[in-house]
Amino acid sequence: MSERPDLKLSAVPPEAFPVAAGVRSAARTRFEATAFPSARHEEWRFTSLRSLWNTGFDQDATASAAALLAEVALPETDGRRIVFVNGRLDPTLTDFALEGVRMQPLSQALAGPSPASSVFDTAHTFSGDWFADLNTGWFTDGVFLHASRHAAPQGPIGIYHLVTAADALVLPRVLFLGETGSEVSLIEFFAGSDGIGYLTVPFTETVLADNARLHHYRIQEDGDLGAHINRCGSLLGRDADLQSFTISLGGRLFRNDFRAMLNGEGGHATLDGLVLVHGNQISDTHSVLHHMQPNCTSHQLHKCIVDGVGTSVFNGKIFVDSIAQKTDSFQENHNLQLSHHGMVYTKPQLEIFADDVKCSHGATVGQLDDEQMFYLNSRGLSAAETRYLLTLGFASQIVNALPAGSMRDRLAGRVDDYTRKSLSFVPA
Amino acid sequence: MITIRNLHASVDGNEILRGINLEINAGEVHAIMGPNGSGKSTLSKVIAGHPAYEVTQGEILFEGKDIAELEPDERARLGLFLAFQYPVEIPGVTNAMMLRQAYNAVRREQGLDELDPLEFDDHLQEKLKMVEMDPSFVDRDVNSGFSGGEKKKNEILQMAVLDPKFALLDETDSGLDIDALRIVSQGINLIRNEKNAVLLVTHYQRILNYIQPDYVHVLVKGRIVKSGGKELALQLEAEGYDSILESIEA
Ligand SMILES: Nc1ncnc2c1ncn2[C@@H]1O[C@H](COP(=O)(O)OP(=O)(O)O)[C@@H](O)[C@H]1O
Ligand SMILES: [Mg+2]
Repeated sequence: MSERPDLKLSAVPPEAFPVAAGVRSAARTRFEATAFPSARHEEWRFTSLRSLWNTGFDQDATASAAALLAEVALPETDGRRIVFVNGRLDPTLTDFALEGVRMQPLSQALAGPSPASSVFDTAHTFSGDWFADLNTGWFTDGVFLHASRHAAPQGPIGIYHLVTAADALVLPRVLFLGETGSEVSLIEFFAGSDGIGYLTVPFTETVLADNARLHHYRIQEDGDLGAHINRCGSLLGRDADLQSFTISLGGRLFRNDFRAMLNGEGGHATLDGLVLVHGNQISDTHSVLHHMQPNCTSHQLHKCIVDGVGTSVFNGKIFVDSIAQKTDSFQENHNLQLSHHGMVYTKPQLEIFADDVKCSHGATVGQLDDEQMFYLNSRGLSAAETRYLLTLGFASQIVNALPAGSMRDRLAGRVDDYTRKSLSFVPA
Repeated sequence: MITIRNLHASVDGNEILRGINLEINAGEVHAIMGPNGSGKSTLSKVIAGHPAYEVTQGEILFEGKDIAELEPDERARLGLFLAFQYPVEIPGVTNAMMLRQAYNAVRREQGLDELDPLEFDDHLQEKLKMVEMDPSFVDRDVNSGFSGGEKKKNEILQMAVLDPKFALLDETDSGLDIDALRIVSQGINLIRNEKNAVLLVTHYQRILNYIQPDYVHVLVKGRIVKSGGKELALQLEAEGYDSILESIEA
């Protein structure tokens, strides 16, 4: 019995991506030397990976994903759609043409010196991490998105990460580069078939040049037996603006690891999240907001609802380097417990080395508020209706802030379904 | 309309209301005045059915029916309304959503058809005009980020929409500027008719310049120590609560 998954990796030589060959073989070397994380690792104290032990995952597993795509495709991404099927960029389902944004398979983008090669593997600090190195060392292909200077295309780009093959090991790689003054909306939609086990380890890097803005939406609707452990890194230049939002709905095990590096003066990062947990799901968000230059701001509102015997973990780090004076950073984590058996772990972690900064954080864990309950009851709403409205309201605060469109409508619908199911609410 | 007999109520084992008697008929406006901490909000919440307060003695009859054992929402659907002294903020729930659900809950109770969102919106717009509130008000989250005056106006809007038989207003006048006070009073006067009743809980006489009460009661330490006509409010304003307390103790 080995205390790690049994991986069957694809035979893609590091040289398949000539300019990234060095990076890839270094990642492979580190990976081979790194132990699979256990509860003894500080970063994995509350999230058990035991369900992955001794389980086989095959990077070459394949199956069709056309039906799943039809279920999840958001109309606003038509014609701006990039589709990964079981970790591989699928040219037949991909349909992309957008003024101001160039899309290339990473195998092309990293064939020689290029804008992609100059930023690839620079927007993160995950090296040495088992999952990150697994992706970096073995991804079979990925996508490079390059927004040109001052490009501001209307409507969002959709990247669909679909998993339909049983026992698949899925390693999608995304690299986004927003040049000076560009503004792009990017939806990454993670979906998988129910009833099949799989392990997906997506790795996304976003690089924002001076004054660039990225709206990055990440929707996690993995299959009920899927395990999803992602890595996302963002590197921000001067006055760059990252607006990131992650919603976690599906999967059996979800680990979201997001790190934003504010590497130019005047940058801003928003890292909001909504997590809905039911059954025996585990949803874990670890984030780092790293202030590396003065006068940057960051904001994080992370909300979790826990039902059943589910587990929600939040670890929010804010690092402020000694040079990063006038940092203004704000973090809030609110957890709503709908059952007595769910588990909530929340840990803000502030490490501040500059003296002239404004940093605050707050965390709450609890049930619905009695005074809010009484207020709505006193308006004639029954206890069941009130619980439904308040639970929905807890989540809506985040969903309502999304831009209007089919993405928001879909998520509002999912939140509504979850709330009704969790509360067994049947409207009068 | 409402009859309160020998009402005693406690919170966390402390007796706050110590034998209240009150009879309010349809068409009447009563005012309850009293110093801070005398139990005005406690009385309001006990009538509305706040679960933290325990009725230890006495009864509350609403249209002849004892409501002391009813849930707050059941009382509301019978036609009882409480305007809160401190309305709570409910982020994520819009005014429109709350009001439509509340309105339809009352309609269901009365065996009437529910209004769909469009029909309800017509009803709502009309009431918004009455309280001189911007239509965008209803799309905002309940009381979230509202100023003190906006919160109080929102209570009046809800009252106007729900059109209760018995409205209990807990210091709705406190902290309002003259303009807001006028609008709030106007709202109350507009819903008044011979079929409903209003109980105004207030600390100051000021609002009684706009709304003429039929009766004024003085609440001190959980008991009504004096009742009279509207001239009692003027006497309180002129002489303060101390003189009344002294005259009672004497
Ligand atoms: N939840 C509570 N626990 C303990 N004491 C309370 C509670 N609520 C009110 N009281 C007390 O009851 C008394 C009456 O309060 P309240 O009804 O709010 O007065 P008023 O509205 O007249 O200012 C006060 O002494 C107050 O401290
Ligand atoms: Mg009070």
